[in-house]
Amino acid sequence: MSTNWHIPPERRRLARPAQRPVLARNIFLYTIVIAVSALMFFPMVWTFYSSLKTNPEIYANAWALPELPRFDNFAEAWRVGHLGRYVWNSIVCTSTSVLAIVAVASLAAFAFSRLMFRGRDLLFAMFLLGLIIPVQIVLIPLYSAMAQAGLQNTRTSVILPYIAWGLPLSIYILRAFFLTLPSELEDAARIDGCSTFGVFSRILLPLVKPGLATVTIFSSLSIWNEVLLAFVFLKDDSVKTLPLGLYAFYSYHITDLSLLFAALTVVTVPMIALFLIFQRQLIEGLTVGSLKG
Amino acid sequence: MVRKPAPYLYILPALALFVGIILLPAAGTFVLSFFNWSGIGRDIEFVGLENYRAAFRDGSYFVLSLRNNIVYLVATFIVEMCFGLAMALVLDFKLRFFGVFRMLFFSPMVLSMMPVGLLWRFVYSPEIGILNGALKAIGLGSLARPWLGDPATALYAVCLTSGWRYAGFYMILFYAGLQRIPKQLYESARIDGASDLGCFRHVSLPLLREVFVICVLLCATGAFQAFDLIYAMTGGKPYHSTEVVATWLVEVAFAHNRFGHGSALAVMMTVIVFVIALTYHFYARRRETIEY
Repeated sequence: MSTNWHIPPERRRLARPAQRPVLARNIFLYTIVIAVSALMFFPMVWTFYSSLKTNPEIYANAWALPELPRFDNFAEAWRVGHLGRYVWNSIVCTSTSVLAIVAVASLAAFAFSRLMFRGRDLLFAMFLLGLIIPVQIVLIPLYSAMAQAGLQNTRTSVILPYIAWGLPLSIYILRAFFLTLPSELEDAARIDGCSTFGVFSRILLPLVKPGLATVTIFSSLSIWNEVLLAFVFLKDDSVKTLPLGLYAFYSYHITDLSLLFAALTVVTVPMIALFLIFQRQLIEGLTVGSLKG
Repeated sequence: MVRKPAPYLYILPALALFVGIILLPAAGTFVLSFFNWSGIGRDIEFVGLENYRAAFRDGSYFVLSLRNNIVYLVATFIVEMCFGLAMALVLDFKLRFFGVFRMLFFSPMVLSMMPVGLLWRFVYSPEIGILNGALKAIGLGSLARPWLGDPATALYAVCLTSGWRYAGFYMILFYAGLQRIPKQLYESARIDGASDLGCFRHVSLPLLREVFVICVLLCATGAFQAFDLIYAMTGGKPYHSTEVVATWLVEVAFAHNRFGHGSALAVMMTVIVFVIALTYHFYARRRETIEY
């Protein structure tokens, strides 16, 4: 940053002096970054070490570190809060929806990018409209339809809207990936006698794996974290997903702080750990996902 | 391009889901917004625009919740922009470990709003809250209060939490925007004698405009649909001071069983989000030709 070799000598005087106080600047920058990190992460760190304390300890001094770390709190929160059940519900809802999204969206994206048919652009524009429709606009009719179909309080009642809501963005992303592939690939496969479905499943699909990964990550995370549909459709404790289960647990045990802190830790730490493992894909997936092109 | 075996078969599953679960129910909401219906039975009555008018009368918190949505939009925007841009600029110096910090700042984005909201309820708690504790420790104990229980501060407290979760995301957007600015521009600015601040003011800021516009769009459409965090932290309480359109809609429809009125609220909310998104769309199309 401080080199100015490319500046003609007669103009160097005008440029910034070459020896800027780099060390002072760097110390200043590190101070800012560390201060902000401290502010940002203290709530999480605090939750984590509070989850190792007993209730009297928390009430006596919320800041203090645990005298004797109680790791039993996690097991107890898991058991008392039925967290296993909620996690299982979340796993079922997320994996089913994401599998369906990937399958349905890649078929449609293939058609929108590679096949010719009447009304193609209009249909695609319609799917794009889905990117900006708020969930609230379907909530009420969907609720009564689910009630009439006897699907109230079933995981199906949220899985179906999760799939539908995941489609527009996934189709959009996958279509962009399909469009980057040269059409010669397809022609060559056809000459060798490949069917349209063969071109899709055996030639093109393996080549859009990065797109499939982006779609999978983005959809998984948004479904895993979804609150509104789950809140309206899943009233029964046995079908609640993790966010809703956590809320119910919180409301029942409002004074049992060590248990609540432990539950929050159990829920958040694995997500942060997963993030640290898949950070690049996650940052990319979430950024692309929210930008919607 | 192939013409042979029915291409429609490939989009059929997607189309069926989209029409069945998004378009038809959306049309249903629109129709329902002209009726009174408790959600059960056939007792349904046409009332014309009454459901829309009712939203603006006393007893409805629609206007208040719209106002709260706007406050939420402005407050989260300020927190997220200031923090996001400042951290992007600092991390753009690319000192050692800054890559790690960039990643860490993003990490709250992977958490569900539910644990985030519940965690911050502890932070703001009057009994064990670390915010009050910190204020007392630095001699500002007089400012300590039940942040979420006080109608004057509850909404801002929620906004701060939202900013905490999203700031890292906006940082990534700004950071990516900064990387796209050609380095020669800074060099020529320096040759012309620009200071650090001058470079920021006359090079970075104008060229980050696109990013700003995207951020405004995301903040705005997000703010008008905000539900998760408010539900987790306050549920619209105290005294509806944190009520937003989404929470009010859910209460009207599913607690008061006024499905028609709830539908009218949903329609108005959708119109607002559409207007914002379409404004952006036309803006983006107009600017598409401009390159730097």
